Amino acid sequence: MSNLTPTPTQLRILHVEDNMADAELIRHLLEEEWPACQINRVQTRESFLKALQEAKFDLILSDFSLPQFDGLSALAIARQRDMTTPFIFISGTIGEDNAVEALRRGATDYVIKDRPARLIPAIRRAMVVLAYSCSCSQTVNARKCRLVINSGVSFCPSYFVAKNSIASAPKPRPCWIITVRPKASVNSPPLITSVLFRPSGSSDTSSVRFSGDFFYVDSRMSGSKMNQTTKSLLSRCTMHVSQVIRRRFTLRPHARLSHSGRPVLVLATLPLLLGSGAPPSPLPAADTVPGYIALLLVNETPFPGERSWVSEEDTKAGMLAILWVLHSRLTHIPEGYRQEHIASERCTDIIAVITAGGEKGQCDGFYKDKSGQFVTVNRVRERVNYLVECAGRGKPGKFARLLEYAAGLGSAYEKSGIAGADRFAGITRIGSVDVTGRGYSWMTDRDGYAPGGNFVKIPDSDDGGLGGNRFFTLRKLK
Amino acid sequence: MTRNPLLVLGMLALVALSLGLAPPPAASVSPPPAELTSKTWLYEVVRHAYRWYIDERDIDAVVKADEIIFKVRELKPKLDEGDNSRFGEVLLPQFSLRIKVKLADYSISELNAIVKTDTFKIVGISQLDAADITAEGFTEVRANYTEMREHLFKTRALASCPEGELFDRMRVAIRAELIKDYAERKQPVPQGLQTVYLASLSPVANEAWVFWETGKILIRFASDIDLANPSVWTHEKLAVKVYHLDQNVVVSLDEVSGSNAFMTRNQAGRGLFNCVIGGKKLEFMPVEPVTSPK
Repeated sequence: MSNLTPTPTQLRILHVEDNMADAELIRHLLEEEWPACQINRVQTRESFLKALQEAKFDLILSDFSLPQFDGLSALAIARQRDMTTPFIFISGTIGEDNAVEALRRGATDYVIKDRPARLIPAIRRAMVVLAYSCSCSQTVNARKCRLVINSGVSFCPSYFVAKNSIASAPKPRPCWIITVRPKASVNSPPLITSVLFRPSGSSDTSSVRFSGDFFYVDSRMSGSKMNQTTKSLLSRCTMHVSQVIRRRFTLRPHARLSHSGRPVLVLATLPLLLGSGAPPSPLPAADTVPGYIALLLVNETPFPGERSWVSEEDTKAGMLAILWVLHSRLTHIPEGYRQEHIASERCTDIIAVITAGGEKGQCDGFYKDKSGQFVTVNRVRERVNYLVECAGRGKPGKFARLLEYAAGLGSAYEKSGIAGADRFAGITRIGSVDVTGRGYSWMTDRDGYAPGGNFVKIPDSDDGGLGGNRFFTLRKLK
Repeated sequence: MTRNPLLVLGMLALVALSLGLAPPPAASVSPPPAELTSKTWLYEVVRHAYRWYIDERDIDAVVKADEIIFKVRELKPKLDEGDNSRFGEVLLPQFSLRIKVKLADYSISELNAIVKTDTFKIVGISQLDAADITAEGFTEVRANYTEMREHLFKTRALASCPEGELFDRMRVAIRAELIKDYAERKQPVPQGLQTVYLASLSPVANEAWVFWETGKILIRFASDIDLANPSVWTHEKLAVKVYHLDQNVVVSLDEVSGSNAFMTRNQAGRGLFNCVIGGKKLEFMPVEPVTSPK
């Protein structure tokens, strides 16, 4: 282990910068934070390549445009050599489109020079890294991918720990590092790199679950004999890989393209895993029915910190009520009306109800793309991914439980439907308007329009339900 | 043990029904927290409503009144263990407004954040109906109408725009939103100086509205966490809502019944007025001139 853990004196930074003043400013900021850090400044492609050949760096900072070089080229070179070293653009000349492109190509982050205060936090985020030994590895060919499992150790560099609360820093932990590479090219960048923590104790791996977009192990999992456990892990893991790949590259905002246009995994998920003893249950893949339902339920209900937050029970009940409303639009059509009146269009399944009306239809941001695949806008994914990230911090709490609840509802619905939706199927009169469906403020039978609001406000009783400030697809009947 | 999903859902339904359909408990008869009946706080609530909700028609209805009536009570929803937040409700029957407020006091371990506001903050405003007015448990507070009208008139242009650290954090968040918005649109980001307007803040509403001129979008930051708390800007993904005024504004929601993606022109107009006229102008380069990589 000791050879894997850098000391505080060993933070090595490669800085691509031609402007002396800017370079000195960055040096000042870095040395203020990490007094003993080593900074190697280069200005040209040749010196950049030379530096990479001669030393291993923990972090690469790069200007975007230089007289004799450019940041995207530096990024491409760096990524060809190593997918894991954090690469942060720090530039006064990067534009949003270039920034987006840089992130797509594998940059970790970018900082505008006129906002230098962002630099250190950006580095901190990026510097949770993973190192592992390759003393024991086994490779299995999946259908399209080569899957490799290495035993290893996760750790957080000591220079990161040094400036933070040691108590909150993740400790080195045994783990398995799973990488998935395209079968066609052994040397190509990995499609997926993920981590399974490996508590010592026994060889039982039955509790290892593969779900969502990364692999994880719950607290019951144990196993120390890599060779004995690898086969069972691989056989189960392989089944899940294709789903993971598809989901990651279609739904994860962090999914990026390699320099060759191939999707590669972004190690942004690793800090989540490293910082958590028991990563939360991720949602089912969003391109599955239960996953899409869960995504909607999570997106439509308040989580802690959001303005409509009341309680865990309140949000869970809101999720259930939403599912009731959705299902009632499919199965409980009031007499004298057609389904189009309550669900925008004829729907044969719950996905059609959710996506009815397109991107700005029944459920804002949930729609079918041109190929018929049900998708969401980026903002939905961003929020939900952030909630998933939050759920992975520390001991599993409300975030994790709420995500699990949504996932459970989605899965249970797909298997067995849902009872109770008929309570939302009746017609209610609000003023002179006939409506059906009901908001997820389940504590009341009274409805009312918010003045000028873009949703219908459902008043609540004293007993709860204050969080219901968003209405869900109330449909005026003709 | 094999669980029957239908059974699970059925049980969930029963639990929710038992929670939700049971007759509401008797309204609290204990007096509301003193803050909810204080003139200073109520005046701020009215000022927020005056800025964002009350129109000429509403004033016409009370122009002959001697007093403005507030009906105030504390609400006691079931909260999570360790959550000491308090909730309240203020009715303004003469303006047909029902205002929910919250004094947040809880922590979020996952965000390493303590959510604690120093005053009751508005968490929702809705239209009042007859059932609300006749509900029990309210304490009535009366204020002199003429005095309040003069107060509102005198303070109508009084702005309290984001300053200092809050301004700085909002600026960063706005820039991030601009980037995301154009990535979403798959359009090139506009170059050159960009203008945004920040609406005045209210001490009783934890929300900040921003209008970005070029993008024609209204951005609302709203959170349980006090906006002055840096945590809210660390987790701004949980606080932001974007309205595309060039696409998602209708005269009447009847045009798009069933959708929750639109806002009315009336609401958009209020947002624009409060940002552009009553707010603070901010100009910045979202990006330096783009230099194409070689």
